[in-house]
Amino acid sequence: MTDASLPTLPVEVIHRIFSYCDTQTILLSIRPLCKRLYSIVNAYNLFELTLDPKSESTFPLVYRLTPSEGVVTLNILRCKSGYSRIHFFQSICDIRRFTRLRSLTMQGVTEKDLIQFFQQISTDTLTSLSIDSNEKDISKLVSHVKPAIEKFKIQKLRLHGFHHAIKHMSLSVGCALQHLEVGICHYDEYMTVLQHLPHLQTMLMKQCIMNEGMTMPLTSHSKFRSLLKSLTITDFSLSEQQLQSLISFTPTLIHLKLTAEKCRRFNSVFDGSYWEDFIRNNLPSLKKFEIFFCTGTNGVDDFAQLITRFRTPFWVEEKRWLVAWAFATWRSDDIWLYTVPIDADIGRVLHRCEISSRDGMCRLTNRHLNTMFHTTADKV
Amino acid sequence: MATTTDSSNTSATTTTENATSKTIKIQSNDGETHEIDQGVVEQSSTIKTLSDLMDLGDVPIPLPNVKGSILTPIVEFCNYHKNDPKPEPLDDDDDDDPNKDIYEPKRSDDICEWDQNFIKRFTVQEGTLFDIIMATVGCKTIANMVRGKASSEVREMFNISYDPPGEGLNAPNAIESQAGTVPTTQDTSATGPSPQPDPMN
Repeated sequence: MTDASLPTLPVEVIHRIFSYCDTQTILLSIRPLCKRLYSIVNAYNLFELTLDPKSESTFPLVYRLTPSEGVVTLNILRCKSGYSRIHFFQSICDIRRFTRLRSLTMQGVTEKDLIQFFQQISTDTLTSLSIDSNEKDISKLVSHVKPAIEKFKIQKLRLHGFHHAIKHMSLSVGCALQHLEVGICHYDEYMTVLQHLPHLQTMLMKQCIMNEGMTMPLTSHSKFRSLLKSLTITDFSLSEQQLQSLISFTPTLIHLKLTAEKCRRFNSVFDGSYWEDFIRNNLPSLKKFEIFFCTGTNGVDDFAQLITRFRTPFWVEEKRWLVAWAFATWRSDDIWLYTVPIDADIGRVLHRCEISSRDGMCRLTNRHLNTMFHTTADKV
Repeated sequence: MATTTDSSNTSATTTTENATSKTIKIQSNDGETHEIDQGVVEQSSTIKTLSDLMDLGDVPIPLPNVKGSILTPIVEFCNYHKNDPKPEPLDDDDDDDPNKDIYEPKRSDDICEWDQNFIKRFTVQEGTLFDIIMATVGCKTIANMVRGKASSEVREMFNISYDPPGEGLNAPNAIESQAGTVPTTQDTSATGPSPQPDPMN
């Protein structure tokens, strides 16, 4: 028996526990417990305020109890039907009070909302901005984002579902962006990003597609090289040659993630030897490689042989990347190839037969793709 | 503190085989001594720093803040996790993961099965859970226990009495009962950095 209890823990430990809790729990469940916790909660300065369907009823109270200078993250999320909560937020909250705000997420935002928010935010601490909109014409919205990037020195910008946003942004070389997420990108927009954002480390896009009438060069002929470290394409549809060209500008990549929403023709991207050569020749610094591809059963007749191409010393010893083939037991036409673990949105059904590069064995499993192999849950 | 799965644990066995040759001794504040290998030493910055600075030979490193009953399971935990893959920074020049967002909430639902069973041995009633809480897994577990609970439930869970009782500051449901009477104007005095009179009273 010891005297230790929640209120007697060191402040640093209690703050660490808070870092795993939502703001509502900290304010409504922990703050009233005793004077010490009340004081510790009020001194906590890493609050994340989230207005979403779940928290809407208690949000006004939570907002009132939250020490305003302790708020570093504000998320205003819309509901599934697309209803925006921006106006609700504005009716009860004053964003000017958040003087240490570092990250702002606004869903369902309009041009008017953006102008108002950017005028009201007075802090110089904002470094992360994430927006999405229901509006079809995003050009006006994006035109307001560019000056905001410079005003607030934004380092992380997420423009969810904003297709061809780059051409409306007029990026300048002095921009401090380190992280950029956009929707569909034309090849020339991608090049603009690489050439105008020297500090960019991470880029995520839905697709990179060829400009009409433009032929993608096989490799970069210019001396230009980006220092990009992480590239993600969530709806990858490029050919092998196009990928080669794309990657030739970013030889220092240490993370590459390629996932495809639709089934692809069974070709090189399903071949471990292809990726082994590709990475050896083009991406010598690559430390993290993630793929998720889907194909039909045509042309796939021997899983055991296919998995051996991902069990070479390059995959197993040098890179230590685990790969699995699987077919969904409920949808036998689809075959998946993916690295393990991977965060990929494939819907809710996970039951599948899986053969892994770990041991070449076939197992029935419903393990989430974002978790490692599990010896007890996966049945041979 | 690392959390991992069985498979990743076994897959990394080759990485630290060479690190197990040297052993050192550590001693709890009640005199219990453990001999640990370099794989375990590497997981504790305190022990590693001390062992690097001093050549103590056979003399155990004293750990005055740790009891024997807690040190034993800590050594067991570290022994289990010593072969976990080390979380490598993606960039050699910069420890920051380019994809890491330090302002995103941390996950607390990624405690592996072994760790979950391990933490079950430490209970709130015996107070031992709070002795081991310096480990991340302990903080995550506490967060999971209190998330979404009413303050009265948390109070009961951790056996916390009001201080001082009856004054309303910590009265059960003092906050929850106000949830339906949300003010529409801002009361800035209620949100200062130092403890203020509770706005509900």
